[in-house]
Amino acid sequence: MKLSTSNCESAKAHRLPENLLKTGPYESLDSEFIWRSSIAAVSPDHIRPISGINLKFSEHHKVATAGSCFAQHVSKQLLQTGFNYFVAERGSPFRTEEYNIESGYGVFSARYGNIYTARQFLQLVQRSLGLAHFADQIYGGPYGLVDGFRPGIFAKQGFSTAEALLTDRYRHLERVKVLLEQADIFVFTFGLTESWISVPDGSVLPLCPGHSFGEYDSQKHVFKNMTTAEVVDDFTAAVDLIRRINPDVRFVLTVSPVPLVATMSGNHILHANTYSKSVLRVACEELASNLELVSYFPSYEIITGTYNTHLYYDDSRRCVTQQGINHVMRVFFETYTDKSYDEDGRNNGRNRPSGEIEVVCDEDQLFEALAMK
Amino acid sequence: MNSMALQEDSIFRNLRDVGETHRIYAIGDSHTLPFGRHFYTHPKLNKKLHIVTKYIPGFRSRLAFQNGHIDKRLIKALTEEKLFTGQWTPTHLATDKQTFNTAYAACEPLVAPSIIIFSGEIDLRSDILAKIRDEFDIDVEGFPKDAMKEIIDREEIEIFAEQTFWPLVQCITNLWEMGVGRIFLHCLPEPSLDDEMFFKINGYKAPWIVRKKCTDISNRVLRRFCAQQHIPFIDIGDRVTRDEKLAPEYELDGCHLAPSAYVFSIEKFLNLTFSDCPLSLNRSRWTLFADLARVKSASPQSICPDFASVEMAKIKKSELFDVNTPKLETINECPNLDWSASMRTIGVSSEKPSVTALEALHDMIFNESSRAVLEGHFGFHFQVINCRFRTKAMKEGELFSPFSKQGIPEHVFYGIMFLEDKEHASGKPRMPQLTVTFDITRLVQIDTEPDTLFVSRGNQPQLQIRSREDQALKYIDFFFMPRLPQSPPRVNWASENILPVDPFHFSVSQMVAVPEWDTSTERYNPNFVERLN
Repeated sequence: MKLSTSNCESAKAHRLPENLLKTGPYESLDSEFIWRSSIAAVSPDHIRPISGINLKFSEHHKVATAGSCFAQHVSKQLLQTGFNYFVAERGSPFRTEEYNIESGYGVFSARYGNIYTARQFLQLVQRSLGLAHFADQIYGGPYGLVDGFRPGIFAKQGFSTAEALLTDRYRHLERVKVLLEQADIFVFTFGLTESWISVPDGSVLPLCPGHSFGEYDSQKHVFKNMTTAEVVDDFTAAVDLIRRINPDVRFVLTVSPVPLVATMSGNHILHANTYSKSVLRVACEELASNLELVSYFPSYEIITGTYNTHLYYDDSRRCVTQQGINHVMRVFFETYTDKSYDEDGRNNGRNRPSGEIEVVCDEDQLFEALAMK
Repeated sequence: MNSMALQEDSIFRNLRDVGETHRIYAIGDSHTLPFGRHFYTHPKLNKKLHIVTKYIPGFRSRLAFQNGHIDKRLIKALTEEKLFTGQWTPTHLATDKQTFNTAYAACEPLVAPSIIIFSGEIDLRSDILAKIRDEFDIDVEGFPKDAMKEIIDREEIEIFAEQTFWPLVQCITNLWEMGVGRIFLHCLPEPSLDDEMFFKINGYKAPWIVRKKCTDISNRVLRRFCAQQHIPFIDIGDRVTRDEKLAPEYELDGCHLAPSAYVFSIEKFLNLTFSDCPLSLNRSRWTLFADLARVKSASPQSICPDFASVEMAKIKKSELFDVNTPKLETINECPNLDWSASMRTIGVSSEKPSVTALEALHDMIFNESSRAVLEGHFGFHFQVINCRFRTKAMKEGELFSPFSKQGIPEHVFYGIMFLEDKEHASGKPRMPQLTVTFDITRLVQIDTEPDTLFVSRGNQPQLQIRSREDQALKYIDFFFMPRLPQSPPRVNWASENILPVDPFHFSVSQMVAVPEWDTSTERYNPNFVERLN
């Protein structure tokens, strides 16, 4: 390591015995802990910010996914590479695959749509286990009724009746329960800290009504920006509940590198985004440290690292490019599996090229609503 | 040498003549095979039924009718059984000399065969169950659901089943249009309880409850299609099950029903043939009646667009449906054009019809609106030249064969209508001919007297007086012998409406279209009928 002159002089003044220098804690660090050797000296697309993860899974493990829209990349790549991507709610086999995907089936392991916050996830777990009951949260939409808990599903049709919606939701929650009972590995991607809470019962909605469905009522829909402690507590509570019915399930946590579409925090969007991602990142660290069988996968770091952010975001500076996704997935597969990630998807599992993966993002509805701004 | 002769002699001594048998053709997938082991004697009719199996490997509903064509393998099977000629023509409608000669030599008409189609079970396994396997369950009322499985709505499967089975229905209705008028569809068999055997056969798992639900849904779809299209549906599900499950004695191999189960199929077949009298057995007649019933509220041109406009000027509202006599049963509306309503609409309630009733019938026959219907139905122009009512029982030796009420719905007063073509060139009725080489004539004839046998000239003499039970007949119906689309008019042998013959679909050679009046029949004469009363 080359040091500047002034630094050298300073070192002379505080010179330590040579034996101590040789045994100092940084001397024994592996290269992955040193910026220059693991970042600066490495080709950007070969950076692999992984350490201390000893979880491996194979085709025999049922891998479930949930979280923000970025989690869909994990879902689809698992599916394409022949892993046992566990989908407990697949939709009717008598419908076309396109219809089912449009209706929200198979996007995640169950038809819950995007789950942006830890509290939303906790409430989903509670509802599926019959431990919490909230208001119906049924809203009008452009094509029919919309499930406020899952506004993204069935978006192009809508439910014809409240009864149909509630029947579908009941079946969905039954499948979520099966998912929670049977999953071996649960990959959860944290997306946001900002959320909207329905005042009467405290239920968290993934989207604020009023943009693409329903009507916004300031008396009923309250903005809430979660703190680190709240995220940690909510997710810990969810893990506890799941482990009651599935003690051996392991969690892989990630933070979505996709920035917020908009903020209601009152701060500049960049400010708010930094807060939100920081909270989630810290929460993941605490959860991985505090809970057994919970690990963190640094997809956020891979995409947002300073080494080549210009390559991993498109012109919107928000959407992650396929190149960035490939990097994340390659590291993911190297880390957790014995399979190598094939960016073309030709050598593994299903013989289907991955190409550009269309991701269903509820936030896009908000994005569209704000498009004029 | 001697021992061989003795042996042969002993063999032949054990042979016995089973007499005349009637064939029922079971054609389709492998479920025809256990059915084919039956030789059945009807206790009342003393008819011997022989089930002839024609197995078409892999015969699937989805492929039964594609791109406007019936599955060639089915036609091939029918041809191999001599039910079709090589020119895709039903043999009983063939007009070639050889066919006529064969019929004449056999002293019986070539009749529309009774065919029971077996199909759909392969589709059920390969298209429906293979998607569901043991991974999904179905929400069917009255059945439990597996909480660990994703639930599919019954409607989803029903829609898919409709798409799957519709080609089969199209296949049958197209055979109909070709003149094969006596086709039955057999239900899908009840599923075996043996899940392991199912897995061995099919290579995937589908628990009994899922197979049961899918079978029920599929049969429900088939039943509905059959009701809509008037296809007689042989449903034996309730006969081979106990507590919704296939009774062990009807299990064969994990897929097929035991031969003993098909006794119920024969029973159902006979019931459909004699008692229920499905519309399909006389589909052409039913269609005609439906059209006639429509005359009351519709213009002839709406029914028969080709009906000459010049004729329209002559048309007056049909009086038949408005004749107000105590013995006429008038139905004001028959919106659904269902069988019984249509039949009764032009039925006459009388053991001995009154002059008024007969006049009404006469009016109906000569009514321009009705004629429009008939022309539209038959597809050629004709002129009703007369209307005859039989008033006397036939005597043996009069060359009249019996007319049984078998196959006719109860409470239907029946008659026969022949219609005559006009010579296009001269405009005159066609003259009788001895050979059927051109468009031939038909004439209206109505049989009014319950114990009167219908006469059909040229038949083999075979008098059979009806039983007293048969004489309880109270209503008149008309039997029409419509010409099928694209087929030449023919002389029909009208006496054979006994099992399994459809009175509309048979032909004989050497028939005279418009014979001389014989003395045993009377021209319609109101005064004469009045005297009878």
